[in-house]
Amino acid sequence: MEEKIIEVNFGPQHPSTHGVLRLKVKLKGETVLSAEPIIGYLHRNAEKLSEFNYYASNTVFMDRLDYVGNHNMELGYVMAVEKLADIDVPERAVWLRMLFVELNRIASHLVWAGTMGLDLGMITPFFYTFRERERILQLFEMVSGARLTYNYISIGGVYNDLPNEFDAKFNEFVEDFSSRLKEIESLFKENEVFIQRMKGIGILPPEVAKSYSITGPVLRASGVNYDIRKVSPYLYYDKVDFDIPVSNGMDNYARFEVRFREMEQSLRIVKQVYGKLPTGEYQNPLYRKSGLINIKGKGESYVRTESPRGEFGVYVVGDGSKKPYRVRIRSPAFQNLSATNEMVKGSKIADMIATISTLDPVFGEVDR
Amino acid sequence: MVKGILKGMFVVLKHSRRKPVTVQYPEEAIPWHTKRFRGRVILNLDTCIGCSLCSQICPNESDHMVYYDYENGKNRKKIYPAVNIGTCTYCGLCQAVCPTGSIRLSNDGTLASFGKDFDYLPDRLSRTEEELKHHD
Amino acid sequence: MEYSILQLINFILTYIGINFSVYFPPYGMLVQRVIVDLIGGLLIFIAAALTIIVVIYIFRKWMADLQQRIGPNRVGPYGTLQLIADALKMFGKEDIIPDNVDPLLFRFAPYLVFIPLILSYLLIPYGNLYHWDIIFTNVNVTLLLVIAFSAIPPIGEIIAGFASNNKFSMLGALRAAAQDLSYEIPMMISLIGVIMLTGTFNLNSISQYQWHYIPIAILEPIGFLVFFVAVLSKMAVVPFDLPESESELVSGFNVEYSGLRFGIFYLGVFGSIFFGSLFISTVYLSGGSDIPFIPGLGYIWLLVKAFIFTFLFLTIWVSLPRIRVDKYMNFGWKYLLPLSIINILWTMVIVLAMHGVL
Repeated sequence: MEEKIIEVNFGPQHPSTHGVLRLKVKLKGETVLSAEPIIGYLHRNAEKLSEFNYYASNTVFMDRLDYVGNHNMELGYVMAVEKLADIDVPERAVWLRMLFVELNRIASHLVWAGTMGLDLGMITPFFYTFRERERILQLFEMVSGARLTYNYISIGGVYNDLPNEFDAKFNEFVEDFSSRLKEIESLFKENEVFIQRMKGIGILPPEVAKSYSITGPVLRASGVNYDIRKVSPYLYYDKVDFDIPVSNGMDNYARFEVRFREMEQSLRIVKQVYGKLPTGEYQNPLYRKSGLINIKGKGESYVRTESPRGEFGVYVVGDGSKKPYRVRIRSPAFQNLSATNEMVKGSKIADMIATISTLDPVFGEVDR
Repeated sequence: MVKGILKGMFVVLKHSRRKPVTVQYPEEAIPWHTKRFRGRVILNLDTCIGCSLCSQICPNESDHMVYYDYENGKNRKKIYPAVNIGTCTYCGLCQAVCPTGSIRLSNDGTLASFGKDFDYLPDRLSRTEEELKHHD
Repeated sequence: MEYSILQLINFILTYIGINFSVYFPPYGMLVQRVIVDLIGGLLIFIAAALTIIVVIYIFRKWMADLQQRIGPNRVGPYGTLQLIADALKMFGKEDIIPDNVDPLLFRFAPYLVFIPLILSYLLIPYGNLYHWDIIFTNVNVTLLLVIAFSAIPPIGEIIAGFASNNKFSMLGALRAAAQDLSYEIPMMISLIGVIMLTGTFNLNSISQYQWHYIPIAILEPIGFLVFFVAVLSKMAVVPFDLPESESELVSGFNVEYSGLRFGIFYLGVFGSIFFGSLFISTVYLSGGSDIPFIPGLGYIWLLVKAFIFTFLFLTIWVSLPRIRVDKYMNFGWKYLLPLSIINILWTMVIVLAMHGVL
């Protein structure tokens, strides 16, 4: 008997495509023959819009790229502009940036952990991870005044200093977060059904990962020790003590483990940074108030940072005016997503969903 | 064989003894509501000098300058910012750029209204935080 | 002296003056019997519907509790009327029959899932309360009937999936078929152990047997485990909610359903959770038979056991990931089936030992 090949559209309205991913899937029974990701449903023109706005206003658009790791997006852009216009950043501002970027990495991975649970049919971990994320968001709101689109990192520093009540809340968070994290991890880690769903699924060998220029936790789970924070340290990453978690598993389980280890390392960084926080200016006084609008740059600059999803690069070209000539964004989630077909070919439908969830795409960033 | 499953179930069961973290918003106040919360834009007409920096930096062009007949001595052309609340993203850049601190974002996040006039002209912007408690 | 609940209904009818058996001598008895049975059936239908509502309420509150939420608390005291509000909403929805579906089968499928479930509620011996046996059907094949009724809903699911003419629902239907085959055989084979031990197909006798001796769950732990897993997969909740698997097939076999028809599927899930709890406590944990030393509370005792199982099932639901479909079939055929056969061998040993052969 001949088996019919059916073609199914997964998404863009599908509960587990993390937003608006559309997958054109060829199925033979339950087996996936090929999956072609189709993107562009969340395109908001961030790169082009940036050409019509002042350098300082563009952080607003960067916020909306990766909406679960916003601080990282702002940071990449702001650093590119600072490099272009040769702007000094006070020491305290750099430490503050690092503090929030790492907190944001934890928050982003928590969102990932919860949604991964949902994709596998576990409802409960989602609530626990979002409960923890909520505490981080409260810290962010306390500082920046917003819960999602912070617009906190400004060119030449940060917009606000820490408020007085930050200290108590922060310590409270740091104190029990690692135990809470262990608790959340224990829901997955030893669960036999979970292991069965993750181990050996979505194999991504290092050569393939490199050829697709995959970065971030996905690459590190394939056994390649590559992290911008170590390879070319920015901010003060060379002044803090942390490890890059690497796993040789190459599968979904390895990606799961790497992300949880990364949260622990980020917590380690956050603790050190908060201890080292110097007093002083939090913003370059030249670029405060009306100075914000007078940022000019000529030439080009490229800065790469390690966002929660991988290498986030921003390329800014200035023509000497107050607005950038061109802003180009190298989005890690976009690059990671390109390997989907390679990873899900020949697996089952359920494995495809699990694999996409461990790639952790965020579509604000993929479509830009 | 089922040790991990039982362990997971035990962790989940342990949570039944913990207190819910839900905040029932309209009845309960949000406990983490901070002073810096970026809500409705407000304008101090008396200190605004009409420099139009806020309308320049606004990324969505929701902040724009309009003529408004109000004399404060420093604003000779009598142009004041108006904000289209429909497109405003509450990014706070107008507050950051304002040299006199006239335009800023209040704590008020309850912006629902029955009207469709999203363009808040200077008279509607110029509320103090006290006034915002009784909604217009 | 023990009376059945049907006799009680008959007494009440006679007391208020409805007694046909005295009017038309040859047929009056039959007419009276039919009326009494109909009232009994109506009672069990109402009771089952109420129980489903209670189970859904418990599910929501319990899940909220485990997830540090509050759960429904707006409609009625402690949100108890939430489900009524939901049902009203579902009644008020437009009845959508999509284009290109098979309209007859599409309309028919939800009832095929729900009605056998309600009917199987009739077959459980609910034990006794004071002097009254709450038993509606006391024929000698109730166990077989339960198995027969429980075999129909998966067919309803398959029909729903095929009739919807949707690729996702079709995949769901295929999964339902595969799952049905994988759990039902081990389930029946593990029940054979019970039948061998008790020598009867009558659920009432099976539960009474366990009161006289010991619960079968202790005698046949392997059979109990296999049956537990099979019942869990029969309910089609996480980790075995393969036909539905929301995150993979959107909503599986019922993806095209909305409004009242969807509501029927939804009720069916919770109805089968509670029925599974009742069934497993009847067959393996002495069901509604008396507690030692406190006679006349068998019904309460059954409900307590059933609700403990319901809580267990709901906890499993919220805390486990979904198993993959091919792994599940492996599990069914390679582990559950051999285990259930081992259980039969074990039961043979017990039976022989009881008869003094060994």
